[in-house]
Amino acid sequence: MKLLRPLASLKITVSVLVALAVLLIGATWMNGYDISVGALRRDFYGSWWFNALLGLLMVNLVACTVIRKPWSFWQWGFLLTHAGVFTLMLGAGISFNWKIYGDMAIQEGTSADAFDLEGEREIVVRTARGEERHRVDANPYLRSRLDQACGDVRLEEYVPSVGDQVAYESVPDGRFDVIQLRMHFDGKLVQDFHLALGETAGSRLLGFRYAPMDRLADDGAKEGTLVVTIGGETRALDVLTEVNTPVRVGGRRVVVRKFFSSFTIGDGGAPEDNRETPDQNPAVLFEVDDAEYYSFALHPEASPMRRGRGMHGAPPDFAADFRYTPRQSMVYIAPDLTYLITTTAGLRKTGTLAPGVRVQHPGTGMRLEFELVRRLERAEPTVVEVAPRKGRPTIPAVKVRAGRDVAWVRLGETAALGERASVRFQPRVFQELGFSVELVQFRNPPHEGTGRAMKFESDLRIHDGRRVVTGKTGVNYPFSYKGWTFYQSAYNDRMQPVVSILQVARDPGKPVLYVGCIMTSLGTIFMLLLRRRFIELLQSAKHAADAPMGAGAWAGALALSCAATIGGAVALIAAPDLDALAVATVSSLAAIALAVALGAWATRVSRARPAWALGLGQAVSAGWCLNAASMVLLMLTRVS
Amino acid sequence: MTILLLATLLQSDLAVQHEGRVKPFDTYARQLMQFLSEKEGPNPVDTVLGLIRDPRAARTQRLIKITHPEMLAKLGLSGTHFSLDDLEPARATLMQEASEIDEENATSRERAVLKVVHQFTTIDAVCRGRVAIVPILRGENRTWTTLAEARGDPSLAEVVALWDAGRYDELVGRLRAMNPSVYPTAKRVETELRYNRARPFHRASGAYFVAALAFLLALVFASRKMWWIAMTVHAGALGLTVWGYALRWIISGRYPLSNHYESMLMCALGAALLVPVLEAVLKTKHVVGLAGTIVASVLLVLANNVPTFAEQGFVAPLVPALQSVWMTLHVPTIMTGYAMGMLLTVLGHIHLVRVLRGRDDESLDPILYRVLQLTTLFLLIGIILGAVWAGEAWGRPWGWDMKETWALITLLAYLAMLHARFLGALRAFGTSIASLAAFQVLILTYYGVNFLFGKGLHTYGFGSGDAWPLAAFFGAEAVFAAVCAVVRSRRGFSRAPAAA
Repeated sequence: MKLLRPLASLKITVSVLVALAVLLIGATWMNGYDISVGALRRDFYGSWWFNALLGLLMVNLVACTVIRKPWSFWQWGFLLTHAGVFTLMLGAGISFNWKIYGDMAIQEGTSADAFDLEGEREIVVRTARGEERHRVDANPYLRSRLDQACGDVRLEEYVPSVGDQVAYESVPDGRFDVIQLRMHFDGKLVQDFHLALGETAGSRLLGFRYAPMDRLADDGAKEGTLVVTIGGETRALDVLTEVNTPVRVGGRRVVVRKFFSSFTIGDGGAPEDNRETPDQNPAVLFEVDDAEYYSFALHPEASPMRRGRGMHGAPPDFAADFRYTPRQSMVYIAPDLTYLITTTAGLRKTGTLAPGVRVQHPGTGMRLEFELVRRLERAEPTVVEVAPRKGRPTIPAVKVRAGRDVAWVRLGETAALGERASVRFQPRVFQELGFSVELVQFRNPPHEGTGRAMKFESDLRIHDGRRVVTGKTGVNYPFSYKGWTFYQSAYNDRMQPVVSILQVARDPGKPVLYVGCIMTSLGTIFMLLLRRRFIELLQSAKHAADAPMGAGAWAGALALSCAATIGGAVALIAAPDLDALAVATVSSLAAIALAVALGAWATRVSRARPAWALGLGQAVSAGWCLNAASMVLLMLTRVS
Repeated sequence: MTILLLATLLQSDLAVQHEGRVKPFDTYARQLMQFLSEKEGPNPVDTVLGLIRDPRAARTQRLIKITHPEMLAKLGLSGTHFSLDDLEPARATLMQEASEIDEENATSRERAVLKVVHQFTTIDAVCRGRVAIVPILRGENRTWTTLAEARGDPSLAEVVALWDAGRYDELVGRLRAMNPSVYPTAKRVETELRYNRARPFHRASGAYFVAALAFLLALVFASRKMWWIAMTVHAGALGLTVWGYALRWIISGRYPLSNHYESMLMCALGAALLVPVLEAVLKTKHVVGLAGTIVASVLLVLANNVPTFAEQGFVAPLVPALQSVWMTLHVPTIMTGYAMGMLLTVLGHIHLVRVLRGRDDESLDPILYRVLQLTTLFLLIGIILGAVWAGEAWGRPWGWDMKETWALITLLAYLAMLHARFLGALRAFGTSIASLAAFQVLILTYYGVNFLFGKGLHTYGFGSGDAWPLAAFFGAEAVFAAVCAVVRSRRGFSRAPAAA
């Protein structure tokens, strides 16, 4: 008790309440300055000091409650309120630690049996030995260095929001030789890009290639050449003339099947050659023995890729390089920084690049210039960090390394790490749902005459072994099955058939929290509206001499104060179609009104018959407890 | 001629499909005028009919209200209302500018540009006859056919002829016969017209003001008779509010709780309803009546006259997020809590004025305490109901969203006051001063989060329009509180309550 006394001080209560309010104002102020709610949730509301403050409030609450022992009968409102706040915080704590939730995107007509956990990411490492998953253990909102071993691969860095530019940085043991170039049109900067040795880049206006000059000479001769190396034997194949002509390289059969000037994935999901924008993404489809592979001239890091589901699979055991010379105007740059410009009109210009010196492109009437910004002889790929923008998805990226191979992987993408492994960075998938969810139909009918939706809802079908259960979820009316609740969260109708995005959650803390909510509400109502009335009864009954209320009257008063709840329960049993929550609300409001009315009546008669009125007050108080208990029960049946 | 046409139109049941709702032409015209001129004007139907019937003359009508000083300076205009012809020279520039604005992060000037362009295109559309009056549904969105479309459709020649001739009653009969299932019945239109004409909330705001004056007189002269007059006027105002609220409920076919305007009505209603209850229950009379009627009348005056709120005053379809039983529990509870918080701060002001006049006693303390309890109670239960709703609708009872966090801050402020009273640190004077501070927090939660913070603090600094009244109010309250504290300590009252 002596120990409790300082902890039970109301001064602590008031200062902690004010401190919390001030801290929260600070937090929302930061929120105004574009720090996302998610970041605040993790680093502010989830921080040790914020929770320590909440903990102090809880200790203070418990101490305050305990110190007032022995409790009098009429103090139960105060006890219930404080116990309710404690239960509420306990429920929140359980949710914080054990709630599982995330997003499930299902396309109409298909099923899903797993979902992406919210805020959690993993990398999937694929090697010849198989596939491994590793959770990425980084604060999703902060750029951070990591040192996490994931099988053969090391996770080195995490960046929360990256742009789609390719960039390089200089490091002592970098494997790439890179130049950074800028292109100006009419004096205005139009492009700033990096080019690694052996790469081609640029626009339809002007292409750039950074490669040793002897290779340039080779390239100039033919439009596209596929160089295949198997078991030490190398062979170059012309992709235009040697189509469908099997050759043997290193004892295996190699056939060039198709050349794409601009490789894209068409609407149907099949690869297409987009002839409207030639030279954008030259690629070649070829076979080694009976497996099909792609090789991309502009993306040597993604070549060769196995054709098939998602274009992933075991990395090939050979090397293939697709070299391609566009038919557009080209600038060839050699490692000694000499350059050669060829134009479609046959003009040529040569010279040497120096940092910051602009070179005018010949043969065009326009002022088309380019300059060398810097050269990094030992560089490594990196990403460009960008500030998150409202309404745009932020794309994080991780840096992975295997031996000397380094790659940056953006969320939702796969990157090859040398020839042995590929790494995919994705939301962490929760797979132990135990059943699958089929999206039968998604609906968003508009309010008449507008494009604005009247409602969003998904018809679902659950396949649980042999059992099939149908259900509907929409905004404000979630669907539950086996402890999992499905909330309509978003949709994507740019895809056909439409994709419905459901939030899936299992929250063991919720019933506890709801019970805490009911306890707090009812305790507060009693404490603020009725307690004073009953204290008055107690005072007037102190020297009472009249007859106390009989057992029959006591039971009658109890029944009356519970009448509304009993009526509600009967209504629910008689008409199961009624909305349980609505009935509960109406009956609890009626119960409050009844209790207040009975309390007022008791105070009125207390002058004439104080002891009798005191009994009535006790009956009302007990009725209040019973009503509260039935509300808790109803809430529990509804939640679980 | 137009006057004659107008007279018949005012009497007719002509309905328009507009912004997702089928409404009488009268409502449509009022809403349009509110949007263009920030007030309905003396004769909205006349004006809108003029736009449709005589587009050429409409070009010189000064309907578009622009108040943003930077906008006016840029356009080289002076005055407040402008016609299409006035704005024509700047049209292309404005359109160009509007197309480049990122709506999510727009600054106050950018939003002014967007609004002008929207007003511009709206008038243009109305002048071109894009008024959906023919109940023939088109497309997936079931859009009604507009007058302009009817002109291009030979099968609707009769409808157009009736419109041109101004024979509205015949027109309505014809239109209703075309699609009786979607065309509103005469009774429904009549109800809405009655609501529009009666303007119950405008009248109620005046009545509450009169009641407040009567309560003040009753308080000053301690007159029982005046108190009865005040209560009668208040009962009349309350009746008007309830009647208007019920009409609005019937018209919209759902609980009127969907936007800021309707929440202000609810808040005023909550304050007004509790006046007779508290006057009956509490022993100290008059003061709660005065405070409650001031709250109700100020709320209604603001709701009806501040353009930001008034433009939401028209019944609109409910967005999916609000279609829940929980809305009907959560919103009224919270609004009553806000009403109680406002009542508390007005009571605080009354006490402080008494202090300034040299009457620093504890006579108002029980009322202050009771209202503080009620504020805390309603806010607590309102937030709990809100959390349960969020848990049911979004799968998380608490997500530290801006509004949630500020609601919690408000509750914490009142909880701190309550516990400080248990501690004995606050009495009548302390509670009054604290109620002023807590009210600032409440205003930020109620108004600030929706209208200032929502757009991001960084793009919407003070001095750019809507934030300055708050800042001015905050400053005035701070000065008032400081003056009260200084006056009280000079008089040596600071130790008086402890002695008593």
